[in-house]
Amino acid sequence: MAENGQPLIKLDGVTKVFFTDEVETHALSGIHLQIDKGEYVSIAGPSGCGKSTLLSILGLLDSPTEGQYFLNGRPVAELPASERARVRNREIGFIFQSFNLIGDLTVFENVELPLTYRGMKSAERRQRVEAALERVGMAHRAKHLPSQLSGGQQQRVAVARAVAGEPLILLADEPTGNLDSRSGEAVMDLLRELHRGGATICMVTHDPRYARHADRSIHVFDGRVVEEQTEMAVTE
Amino acid sequence: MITDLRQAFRLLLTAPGFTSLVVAVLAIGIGATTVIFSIVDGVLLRPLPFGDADRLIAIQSVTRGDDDGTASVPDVVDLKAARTVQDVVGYTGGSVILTGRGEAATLLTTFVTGDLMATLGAPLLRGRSFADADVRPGAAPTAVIAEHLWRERFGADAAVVGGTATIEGQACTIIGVAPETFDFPIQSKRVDVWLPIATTQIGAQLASQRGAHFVHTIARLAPGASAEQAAAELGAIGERLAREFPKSNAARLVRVVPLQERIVRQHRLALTVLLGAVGAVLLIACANVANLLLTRGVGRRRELAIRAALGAGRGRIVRQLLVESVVLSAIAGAVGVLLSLWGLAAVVAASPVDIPRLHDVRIDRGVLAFAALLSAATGIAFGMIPAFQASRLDAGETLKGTTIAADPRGVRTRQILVASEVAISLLLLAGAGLLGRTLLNLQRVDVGFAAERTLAMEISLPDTRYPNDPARIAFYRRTIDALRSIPGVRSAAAGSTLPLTGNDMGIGFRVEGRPVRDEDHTNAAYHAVSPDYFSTMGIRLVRGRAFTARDDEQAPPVLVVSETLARTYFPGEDAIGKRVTIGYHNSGPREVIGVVADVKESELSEKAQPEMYAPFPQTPWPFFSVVVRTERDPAARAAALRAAIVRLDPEQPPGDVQTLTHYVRLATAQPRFTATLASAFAAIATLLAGLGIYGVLAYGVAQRRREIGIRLALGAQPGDVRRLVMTQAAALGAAGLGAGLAGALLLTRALSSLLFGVTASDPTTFGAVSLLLMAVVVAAAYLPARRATRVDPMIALRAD
Repeated sequence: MAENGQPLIKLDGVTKVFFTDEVETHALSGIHLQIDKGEYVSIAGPSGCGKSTLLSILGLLDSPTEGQYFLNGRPVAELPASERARVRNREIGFIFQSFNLIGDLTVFENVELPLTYRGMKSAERRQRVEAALERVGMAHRAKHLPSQLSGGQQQRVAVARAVAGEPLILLADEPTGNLDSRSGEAVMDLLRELHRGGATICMVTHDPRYARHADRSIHVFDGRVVEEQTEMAVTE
Repeated sequence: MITDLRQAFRLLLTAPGFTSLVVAVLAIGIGATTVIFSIVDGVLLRPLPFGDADRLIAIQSVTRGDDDGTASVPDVVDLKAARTVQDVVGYTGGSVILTGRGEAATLLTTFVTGDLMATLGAPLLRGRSFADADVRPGAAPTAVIAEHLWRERFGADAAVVGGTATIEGQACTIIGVAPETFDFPIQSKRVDVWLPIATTQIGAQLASQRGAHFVHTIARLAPGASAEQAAAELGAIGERLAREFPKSNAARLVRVVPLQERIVRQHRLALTVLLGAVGAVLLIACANVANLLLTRGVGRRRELAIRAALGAGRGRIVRQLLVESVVLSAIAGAVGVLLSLWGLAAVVAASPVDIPRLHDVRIDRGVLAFAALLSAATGIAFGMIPAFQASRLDAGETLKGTTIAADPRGVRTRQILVASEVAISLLLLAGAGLLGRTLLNLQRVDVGFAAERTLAMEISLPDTRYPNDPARIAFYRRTIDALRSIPGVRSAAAGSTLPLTGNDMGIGFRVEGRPVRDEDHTNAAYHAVSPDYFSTMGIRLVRGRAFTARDDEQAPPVLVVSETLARTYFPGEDAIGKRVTIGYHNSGPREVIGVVADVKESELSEKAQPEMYAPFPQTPWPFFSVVVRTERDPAARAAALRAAIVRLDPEQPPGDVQTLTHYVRLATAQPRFTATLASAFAAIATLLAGLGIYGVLAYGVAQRRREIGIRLALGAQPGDVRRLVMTQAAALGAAGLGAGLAGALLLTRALSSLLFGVTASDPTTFGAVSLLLMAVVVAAAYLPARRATRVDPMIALRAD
């Protein structure tokens, strides 16, 4: 639950329809979902089931065709673009499958980027970036360019970028998808550690090994939530 | 090669939009360059149309500080003694009246001191040229007529040679007909007739005076003699004349320049500047096309990688891409030549009338060869960079990837090209800005008279019918009375010459009681004028009085001087009441009765020069110009003016009637021509640079869509993204501006002699053009920046 007694994320009957020429594609159909503060939720499902669409709606990268989306008790489904950008910047931390670090910027500058958009003062930014890099064990690589890092290291920098702004929730899209199993495990350990530290995490994955790390696993099929399992059931 | 050509054509046809854009950009560059090159070639480079033209020289008798100079006829006779030159001949322009061959006509005339055609190595169509006996004082009048006059007025009569024509009222034997291919002096209007200088009474008078420096002199280098030897020998003769005739020649020296140089010198800098400007436009066009090809090259990387994988070597790929470029430039060259045909006609129509040989400029074989070479060179120039970049492709890496990432080397090259375009544009804009300000400054110059609502007409009185002063004065008075009575004419006046009409006259003078050294310049522009001259012309009377009808031939001689003459020769004292003797019409000392404002005599940019005015009846001339001030539109009174002259004397052809505003406008024709063309080129350059910036930024945004999507996903506001693109544009613009400003500060110095009222490094102009260019950069960045803000942040979720 959020501090106001409401779930951190609440989706009520969210539907997403894509219109192409005369074809309507229902990517999501009447999704109801709640994520409480401090929860670690995984979203699983086969390719094309709608899990990425769901994540993009949760991350305010897209908006639902129908239904309501409450983030920390506040309706956010129909916010104007600039306000959505502000919410993304302050309340959501993204971890992408392909890391999405900007090649021309150093590790430090990559982590600093969302804080810059927030208009935060330089000294505070430096402090937060250093802390975030320290947290993921990448402080010694602050001046490197992403191309000088391994995939696992790049993803740790991406995690640092996601947590530096102290968002309400971390949204991770297949965070191990581009990594070898060892690096993947290391990143999952890092997420688990963040969760233990109180972070709320929502992770899309199709790998059952990693889904097991979550408290709760949601299965999506054909744009609908077809099953929810708690940690116990997932582990069994 | 055939395969390469076939593939090149096929490729160009499959991308008609791209092909059209490249052809259009290049055709503008090639077409504009061809136009200016054809003018430079025709005016500056092409040898004069005379035999052994490179052996022809101009002998100039110059005073200190002058660029050009005329000699007296006695000087010309002395210069003939030089052994390093032959066929020395003097000439001057003028007009005569032809009667008895249809309507009386004013003929554009060149008066000569000898056999001009022999000097120039120009054979005649019929008859012969002047022999020594023809040009001696007192010789029977003879004439060489131009072919067009022979056809128009003599019906191309085969027996014309030996016949007579009534010129200036006297029978003149026609001794020769000059072919249409011959025209000298080379000027905007063709000469109708060549006459010995002594044909007219005034010519005979002046030809005998050592101090009457009014003839241009040309000669041919003697066989085996060099121009340096001729310069030394003629210079020595000049020095001897200065010693022997200090009164007239002390301040003069004799100088030699190639004849072609003397004819085109005045226009060399302006045309060279324009050629440079148009070359810069072509350079920008090439940079733009190179950019387009680089951009397209990214899309072709896979195709080229496949070719490389199939065994095409680096040289083979470079060759194929160069063939494509040259095919593009060849098409653009053909279109450019078509454009240049139209462009040349437009430029010639818009040009000032006094650029020699301009109207003979054609897009001929030489120019076509230049255009072909230019096209091939541009094809290679703009094709080289993209071809070499593409040839360095790593085929293995390229074929492995499913998508192509931006090549940082290509991006950098594109940025350098665009920054260079901005730099060159700034250079052109700065030059055009300085020339534009010069034009504005010239247009704001106070000419010293009120040109609006005035009409002017030249009148030349033949010696036979107006043989003496009383006859000339009588006609002058009747003319002014007749013009004054024309309805709509407020006032009428006459002057021996009118300012800015191209006819100016300078006469020496001496202040009574003041010793004058021979080498001192005591020359002033001179006008013999009617009583109402100052009021009709709108020349301000500063002190004293203007002339009245009482200042006639019986009255005491009087003089009005300009402020500059008064200030220069009577510093700290009042010029009024002083007595001055002028070097014409031995009428004794004249009392200065008035001081008038300075008037621009021949050029708007000239410094105020001493001027003096005497009453026409006291110093009559066999020619004068009338000027009338009208109530309303002066052009409506032109026919009435002409009719009034014909009524007075049916054998007196009325001269060309023009408004004084026409002459004032003509005085800015050359700077307007240069400024207009330079501005047009600068505008094209700026447009192309703007397109270049747009292209690079648009391509950059397309390449960086993912990065922009990530930034948006991380919470960047549209403003942040816009700033990102704008910053890149500003950086490109600033780099170009910096380089352009540095270049402009260096190169605009070359324009100094074309500028007026503005320095070559004028900060206002440089600031204004920098701002303008930055505005273009911002405008060019607007669309890509807007497009960047519309990138879907969802792109961040899509894996590579």
